[in-house]
Amino acid sequence: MLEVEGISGGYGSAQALRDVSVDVGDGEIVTLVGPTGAGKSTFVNIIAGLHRAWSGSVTFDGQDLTALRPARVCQQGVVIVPEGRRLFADLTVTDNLDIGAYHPAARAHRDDTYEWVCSIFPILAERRNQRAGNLSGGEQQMVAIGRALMARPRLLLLDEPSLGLAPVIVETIFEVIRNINETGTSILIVEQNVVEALELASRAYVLEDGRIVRHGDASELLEDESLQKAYFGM
Amino acid sequence: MSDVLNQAIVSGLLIGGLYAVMSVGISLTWGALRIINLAHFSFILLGAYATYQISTSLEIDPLFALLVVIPAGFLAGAIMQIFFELTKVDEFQSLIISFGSVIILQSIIRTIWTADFRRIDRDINPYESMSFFVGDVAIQVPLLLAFGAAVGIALGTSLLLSRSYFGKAVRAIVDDPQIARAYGIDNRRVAVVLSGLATAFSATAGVFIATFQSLSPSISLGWFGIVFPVVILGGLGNAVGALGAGVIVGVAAGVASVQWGPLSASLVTFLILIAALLFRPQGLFTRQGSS
Ligand SMILES: Nc1ncnc2c1ncn2[C@@H]1O[C@H](COP(=O)(O)OP(=O)(O)OP(=O)(O)O)[C@@H](O)[C@H]1O
Ligand SMILES: [Mg+2]
Repeated sequence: MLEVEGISGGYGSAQALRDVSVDVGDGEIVTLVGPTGAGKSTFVNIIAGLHRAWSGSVTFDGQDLTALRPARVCQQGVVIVPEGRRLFADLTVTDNLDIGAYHPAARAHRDDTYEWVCSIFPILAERRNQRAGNLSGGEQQMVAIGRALMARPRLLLLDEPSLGLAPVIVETIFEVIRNINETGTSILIVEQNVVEALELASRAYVLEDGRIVRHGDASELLEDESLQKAYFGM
Repeated sequence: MSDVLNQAIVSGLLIGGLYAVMSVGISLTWGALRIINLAHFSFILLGAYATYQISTSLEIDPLFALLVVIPAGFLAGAIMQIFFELTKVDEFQSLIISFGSVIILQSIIRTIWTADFRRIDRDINPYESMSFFVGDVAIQVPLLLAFGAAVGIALGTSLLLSRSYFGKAVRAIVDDPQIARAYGIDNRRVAVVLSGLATAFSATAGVFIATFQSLSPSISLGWFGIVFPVVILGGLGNAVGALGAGVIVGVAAGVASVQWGPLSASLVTFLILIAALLFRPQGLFTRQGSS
């Protein structure tokens, strides 16, 4: 469904990604893990059209997304939950969700999707008229995911959804991600919480210093000794 | 309280409505688009002269000019914003560039209508001296009309910004333009429409000015000292705030000028502005924590 081929890219003359290829199958959960500064955000931002690649291609359902503006990528069904949530802090919860449903195809189903999102995150219905900036970190992450769902994604890109959240909240968020996936949405999730991410995903890629150094079944990587040393401190 | 004071308060309140209409356009584009567009002052003046010309040439009620001035103002604002988008100016550059456009527009106005005072003939302008009394206080009809327009614009704009998809898009762009774009908001188009709307408001202020005042190219110089205090007191991008601030400035200046003479009016206005900048830099009417 998503095929990313040989992406290189960076900022100015500083290269952050070297020939990175990743693919996500229909209905799959794939995780991209790696240390701080490895280039994970740069990579998903390139898929979402928020950042331009130097070379390489992004294909989704046979459609070339490489040169598309972010709004067009969103309309094609690839929607990002950016790192740090990036909510519209001054807007209410409902208004944030409505922005998710801004493009015409999503707006046509706005009420149904809104109801669905509120059934996934009941707390959002309670908080609907509150300023998003005033919510707790966990609630803000729920708004960020809810906002992305309002765009009716077929592939959801999640950039460190657990960032700065308490372990119990992380568990809830991961549970929700699993449920969203079960409704048929494919997921590419970037994480530093390596163990949880590997338990959630079916396949995984390990990115280090802009290069894919390992990839394979998540369960296999979870057992891998060298990875355990590097990431789980075992 | 004396009759003179009562009259000053009521007249100040009403003219505060006009101040709000004059200020709301600048406030919106400054607050939402981070563009300080001084050309609004020229568009107020152009709106006034256009009203004078339409009313005088066609011998019709000056308020009919709204039918031309509103769409023309919208178009002018939209075109200016397209220019700003193409040149990618920042806040400070917009100030400089729009100052240039003020000079050009000012000289165009001077060329067309000369520096002489222009006034719509009383035969076709029923509003100029129209007033009625409530108790001992005279209510000037042209100011009352402007006040009504101010209330309509303030409430309409705030509803538009809070309820419509367009308004949500505007506020999302203010918060995080990159993510707003990612969800399909065409921020250029939104900016162009908003600037058009804002300029239509400014041009509308000109229509009301023409109903009760003589026009000369230099009258716009006096507006800077009113509009900027109102914009800042009201809070950038806050239309209802602009109305509140317009009323405060109108009443304070009106009362000051009957108490201490007309020269004190602008002094009092600036004292209020300085106090507001010290104690509430986000404006009197903006909630804490929102921008
Ligand atoms: N806007 C930017 N300008 C310049 N360099 C950047 C920018 N964003 C990231 N970088 C650099 O690019 C490299 C990859 O950064 P990126 O944010 O993609 O890493 P990451 O894997 O997402 O890290 P983290 O886990 O901390 O989020 C880093 O060396 C970083 O310093
Ligand atoms: Mg990152």
